[in-house]
Amino acid sequence: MNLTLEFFGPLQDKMGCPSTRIQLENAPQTLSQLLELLNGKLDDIAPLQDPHIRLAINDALCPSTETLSLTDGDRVAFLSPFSGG
Amino acid sequence: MPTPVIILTDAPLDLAALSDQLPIDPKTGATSSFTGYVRESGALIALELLQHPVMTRHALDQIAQTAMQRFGVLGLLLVHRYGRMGIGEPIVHIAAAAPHRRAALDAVSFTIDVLKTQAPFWKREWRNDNYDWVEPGGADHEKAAQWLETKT
Repeated sequence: MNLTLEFFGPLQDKMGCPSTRIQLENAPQTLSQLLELLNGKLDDIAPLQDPHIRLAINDALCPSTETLSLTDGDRVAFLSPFSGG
Repeated sequence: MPTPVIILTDAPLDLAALSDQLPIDPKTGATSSFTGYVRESGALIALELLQHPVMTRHALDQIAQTAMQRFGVLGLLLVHRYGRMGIGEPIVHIAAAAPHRRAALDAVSFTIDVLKTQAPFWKREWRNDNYDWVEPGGADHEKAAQWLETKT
């Protein structure tokens, strides 16, 4: 499946880009499975393993403990901790 | 059921003009407001707020609607700026109208405390040609948690 990974906040600098496209052989069911599949496809996945980072799929927040229901073409956003106001 | 007025903009905030945007119901007995500004800090020359193209607006809607329902306010105005701002410029303006003062004050406090850690904004401080990201502090999380864990 093809996914677009998006990075927001300080993560953009840590990952070196605002977004990137990747191809996975299998559909991950959990965040940890996704990170496992990304290991080796990205230069460094360590910034994505920060427990404070939130996940969104196609612009909708997804609890990190929830089962992922990803389909081909989805956008997966990794969001640095928010700092508004 | 009244709905909040939400403005998310990259244009400078005109506070005088915004004062007309808070809906005032005949049952209003109190209004309250909060404005957050870029404050001077050492060599800081600008503050930049970045938003998510979809999720930020959605989060502001959710927070404002929750505040209105929870505190029974009659009108709520939530204005948030994004982009680059100079020292002294307003970043956020919140105003509430309610039958009694406590509801108006609490609705404003709730909205600013919760949006600081629950609305997708990212902040960076510019000094000369370099920036530093501003991470939310422990106090920010504590304030939001107080509202999110307790019900009035």
